[in-house]
Amino acid sequence: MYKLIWHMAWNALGRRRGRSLLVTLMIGASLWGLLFMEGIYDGMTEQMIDNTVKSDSGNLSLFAQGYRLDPSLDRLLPDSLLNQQILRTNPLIKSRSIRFSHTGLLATAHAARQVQIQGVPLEEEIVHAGLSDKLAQGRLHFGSDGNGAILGHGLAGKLRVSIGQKIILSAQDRQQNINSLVLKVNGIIRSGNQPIDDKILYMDIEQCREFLGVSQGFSQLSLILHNPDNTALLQEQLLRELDDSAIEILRWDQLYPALLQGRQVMKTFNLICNLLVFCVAGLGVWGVMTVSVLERLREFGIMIAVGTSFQQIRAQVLLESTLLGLGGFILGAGSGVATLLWFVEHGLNLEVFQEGLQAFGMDTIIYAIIRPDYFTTALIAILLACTASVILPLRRLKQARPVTILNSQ
Amino acid sequence: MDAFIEIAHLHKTFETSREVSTPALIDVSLTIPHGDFAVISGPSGSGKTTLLNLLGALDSPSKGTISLGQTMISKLKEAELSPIRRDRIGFVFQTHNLIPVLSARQNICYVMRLQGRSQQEQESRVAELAGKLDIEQLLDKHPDQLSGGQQQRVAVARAVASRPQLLLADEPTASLDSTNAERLLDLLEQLNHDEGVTVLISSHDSLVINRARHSIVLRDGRVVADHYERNDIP
Repeated sequence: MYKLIWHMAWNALGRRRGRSLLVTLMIGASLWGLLFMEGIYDGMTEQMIDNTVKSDSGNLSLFAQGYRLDPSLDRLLPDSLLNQQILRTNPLIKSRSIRFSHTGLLATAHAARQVQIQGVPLEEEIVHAGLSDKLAQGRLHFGSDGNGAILGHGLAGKLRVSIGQKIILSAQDRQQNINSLVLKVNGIIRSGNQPIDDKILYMDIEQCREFLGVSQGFSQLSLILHNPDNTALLQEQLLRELDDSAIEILRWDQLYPALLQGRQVMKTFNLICNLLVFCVAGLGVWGVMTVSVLERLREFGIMIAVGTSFQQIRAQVLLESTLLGLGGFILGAGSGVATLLWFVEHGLNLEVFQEGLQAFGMDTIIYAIIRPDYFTTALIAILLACTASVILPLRRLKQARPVTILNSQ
Repeated sequence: MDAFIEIAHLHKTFETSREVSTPALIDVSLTIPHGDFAVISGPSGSGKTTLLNLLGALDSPSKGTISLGQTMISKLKEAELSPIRRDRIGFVFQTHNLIPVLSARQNICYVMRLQGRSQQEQESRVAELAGKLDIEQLLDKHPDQLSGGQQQRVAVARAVASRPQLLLADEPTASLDSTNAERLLDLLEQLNHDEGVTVLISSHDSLVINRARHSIVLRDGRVVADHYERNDIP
């Protein structure tokens, strides 16, 4: 029986090859567009989050209690914190980096800007923040005398400084004295995190402490995990083990709630796109199946007259619509995967929109993401659209008596 | 006589609009015995096709009952009628009504496939009927490649292929020349004789009427004559 239903459905689709192909192409093209959009948008969002995690928040960051409200040089984490067992040997932690932060004024002979001074152990920071990938000009080096600096791309642009130029850094030290230091621009980075790119000045942490009159301590300990899904787990462990009256332990999404909202907005946006695309595809299939069933009413009438049950005809029509949907899915998913794989590897170069993208903290080359749920959601949506598309035509068929159908045309 | 079809006080009225209704059959009562070879004749509009449609479970009566064997088909729901149409009734339509996506062979096999008959059984039955109806050369053609007469012969083959108990034929010779009409009637008589199929034909073709053992005449929806021409029902 299934063989007969399959045979009839296949025959019916084959008889209307052009129309079947058109619907398949329409579903395939819609799905391709949807997958491309999802992959690129998710890639964009995840890159933004990744940039922020690497350049600033880590998956988790530790601060001295009260530091974030009042970032004074008296609210520092002690160096001894780094010797805590849970931070030294925790298998969840992939990398860690300490940062000694303070605000200052950076000046050239022509311009001056407020900067975020970031004293870092360079080797650790290079690994932790992936600075090698972010280097736009020069090199990642503080010089043998420790007087080298690495600037954010936006800051360097605003001060119009280039590699090798001298700059003057002024800041108020712990004793409230104003100190100045001449630094040489060794590198310029483009982190993809706009606040960092516009304000950051990396310098050697020891030099920074000395410059600001602090003998030990640091402002932030940034942790990156092997598996970001374990962030909440590690946060719980740290809150249990460490003295939370002295230390604040925050996840990246607590430090940057806007990014989390951005991710949720993107999910909603993708869902809406999904619905829109599949409404369009569903309407297409519905239109075709309605015409296809109504123009074959007589054929179905004959089949009923010789003993075919309505259930068999329903199965045949459903199979026809499902085959169209699956054809479209295979076409769309295949071309979508191929396209996304290319963009996973090579990225989508949006340099023409560089200014605008950087203003939102986005990279100019967007690397796509491929997630299995793109395909499962799409498949479910297509199958639902295909099933829904035959309800009305079948209803009309069911309501008619065979003799009425046979005499109707 | 062992009654196979019992029709009692059958009425069929078509509602052409809210105010206008047209009676097609009025108080028709008939008994058709097992193995009968009956012809329903009468002028156009007398209700022949309507009666055949009701007997073929393609339509439901406005009033009255129809029994097929022990089954009162006029009371059955659509879902219950499908197996009766498939297993017990063969229908030859006036307009052939072949399934356009299937070849002649596939059309003939269609009901057998619905019944789940084996491939071998289907093939042997197709070969047997194709020989009898002279359609061997047409088996791989689709309906739109066949003439009206050829389509009619394929339609007859489809109707009898599943060996139904009742064969209904609505003007089966209308699109055939006299030679082919004779061959078709020979086949129907053979089926009636050899396989005990009850045959009920609507026609106003004298060639058909002359072959009838049981003649039923309708006029304006009423039975005006119901008699046996020859007393040789098997």
